[in-house]
Amino acid sequence: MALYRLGIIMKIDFSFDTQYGRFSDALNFGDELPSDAEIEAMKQARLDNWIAAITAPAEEVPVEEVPIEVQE
Amino acid sequence: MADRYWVGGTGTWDTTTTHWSASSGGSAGATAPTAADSVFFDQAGTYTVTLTGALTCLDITVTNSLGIVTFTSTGSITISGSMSLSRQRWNATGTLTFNATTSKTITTNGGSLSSPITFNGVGGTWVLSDALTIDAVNALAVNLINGTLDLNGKTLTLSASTTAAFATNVGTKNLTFNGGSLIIAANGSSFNNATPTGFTTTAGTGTGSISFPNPNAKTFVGGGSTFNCTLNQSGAGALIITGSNTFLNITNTATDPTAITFTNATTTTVAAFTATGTAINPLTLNNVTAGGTTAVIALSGGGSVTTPDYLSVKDLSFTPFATNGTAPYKWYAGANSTNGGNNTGIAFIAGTSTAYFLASGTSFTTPADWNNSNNSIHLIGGGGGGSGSRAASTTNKAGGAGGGGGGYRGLTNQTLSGAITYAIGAGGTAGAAGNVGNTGGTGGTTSWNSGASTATGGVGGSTTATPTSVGGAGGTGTYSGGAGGNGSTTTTSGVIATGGGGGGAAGPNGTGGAGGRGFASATAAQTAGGGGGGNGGGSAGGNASASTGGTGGNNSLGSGGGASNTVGTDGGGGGGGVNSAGKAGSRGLDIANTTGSAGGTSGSAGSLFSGAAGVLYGAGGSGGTTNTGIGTAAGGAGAAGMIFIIYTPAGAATTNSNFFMLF
Repeated sequence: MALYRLGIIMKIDFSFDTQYGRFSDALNFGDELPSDAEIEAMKQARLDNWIAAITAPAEEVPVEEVPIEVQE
Repeated sequence: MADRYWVGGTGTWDTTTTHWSASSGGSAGATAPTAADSVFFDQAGTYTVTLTGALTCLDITVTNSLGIVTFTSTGSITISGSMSLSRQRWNATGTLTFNATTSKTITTNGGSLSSPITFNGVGGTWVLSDALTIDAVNALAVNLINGTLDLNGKTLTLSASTTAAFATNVGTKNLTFNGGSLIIAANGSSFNNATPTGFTTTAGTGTGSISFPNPNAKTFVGGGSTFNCTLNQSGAGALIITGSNTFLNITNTATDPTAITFTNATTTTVAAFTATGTAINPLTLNNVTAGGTTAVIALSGGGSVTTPDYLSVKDLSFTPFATNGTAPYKWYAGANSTNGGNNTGIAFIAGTSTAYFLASGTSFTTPADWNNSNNSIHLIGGGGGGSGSRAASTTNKAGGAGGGGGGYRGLTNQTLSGAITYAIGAGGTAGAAGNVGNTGGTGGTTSWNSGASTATGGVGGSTTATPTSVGGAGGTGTYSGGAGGNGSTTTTSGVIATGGGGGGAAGPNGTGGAGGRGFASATAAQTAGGGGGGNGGGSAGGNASASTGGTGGNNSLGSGGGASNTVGTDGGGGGGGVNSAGKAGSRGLDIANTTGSAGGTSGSAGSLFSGAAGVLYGAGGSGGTTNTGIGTAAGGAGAAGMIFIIYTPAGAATTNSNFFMLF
């Protein structure tokens, strides 16, 4: 799919080497490019979200409680 | 082929025309998209799209720049084209299938997908435009069936909430990295190449990786495939590798102590191995099967592994490994690493040094970078053989005597050039069974530089002289091997004479321990063999008593000797057998923490047990037993010697060399 069809004009690839492995992502922009500081903040936000995703504990599968019938 | 635009805000995506327009912002009423129609979510505002049933489309594009589109429900969707999402929440949990047969892209702009994803298009390729995170809960995150998943230098993350995070299935499938990384945060069988047939990987540009950050144990089921990427342990939980797989490299980036565990009867082939631990976060390399020896890690393409350190290694075999002096060690664990034992082919010294192991061959070619002023050479002679028992008559019997341990010779800073002739001392032969008593063979001399330096072999035990059973003397050198233990003797009819323990080999820490004496008895259950001597710098094996084998001698650290009827460990001698064959001593790690002298084998006891053979390197064999009559049994053979060479290459920094010898 052509990027122009999505309104994407500029793409910035970036990577961080972390203890969990390498995080490589890209930022897509239209015709308005944010400031360098904003771009760096976006990169950091992507990294933070990613680390949160991989360090979040696995969700517990709810265990359905089965009532125990007691015969008297 | 047509375009379909979502209109009407929150609603259900099904087969009706309620929310579909043929133009952006147009009127509803267009037919629901088919696999040939691209769909667009460009309506401003925040709304929820509920997927219901089995849906299809070509491309799917979310360009809502102001609001948030939330996709939800459990309906499945098959996308035959590309996916581009922006400001969306893909909370839908039904399977998302990509089935294109040409090249397509996936763009999520920082969003994650809660759907399990299947790639199943013969000849299709899906290229990641940016990082993709899949957090399907308790589901298989990626099912690769047909087509190529191209990471394109980006990160594909399968979150910890997934199970069996990545799997292959029947089809022709490929994982291309182009420098991208696959991060599998799930535990359990987190990577499962369940159907390796038809599965390939492509490195592309750059070096890709597969990482496992989960803090719990996780399994990489490789299926015996070639992975043109780095396998990276990045979490505290052990990474268990199954299958005989090939990797470009194995690394460790975990910030906790962790482990990489290999599977017995597999060969893991790597072009490089740079995984290392640190002082506070050591890395364990081990075998799923404790005590196994067939988990092989093979270095391909030449070169050496020199960068690891702070490893703890156990039950692994590293190749290539030349034992005839034609090539140095290719694997170096580092000066601060721990040899957990039962390893071959890896030297526990700094990678800045070079080591050779010689257990065979006769000629050593001086390396071009040999350093005359920083080297050490260690020789261990062969162990002597235990003698056979003697029963000249019912009142003239002797248990076999243990053979002496091999001597040790330590050399430092040898000036070498050209070809150096050496010999490895063979283990002394076992004394044969026979009523007259047969002496064990003397161990061979291990010699260096055409005999300029030697470590002689231990002498075989002797039972030929009435009424004695005399253990063989230890071999000589810088330190002498331990003498073999005497067998028990008897002049009383009906008594079983038992064997003496073998002497321990000498090592850089001192002389080998002597073997202990056996205990004779008319009651087989009470017979016991002498303990094997400890290895260099260790203690003597104990004498046997009624129903109790002599304790095996300890190593130089005061440990390792086997209790009665128990094998030794860490250079300790075996504990004397009780109404049974002698027990083995153990090879120590007293030479550069890599190999070493062995403890002696304990004597046999009971009716007509042969002596037990010594273990590598240089241990004396033990003596055999008689029966209550005039039956005799053979002794055990001594173990062969060896040569170990270490040097810091000329011109290399010497501060990291970990080896100093005091003689």
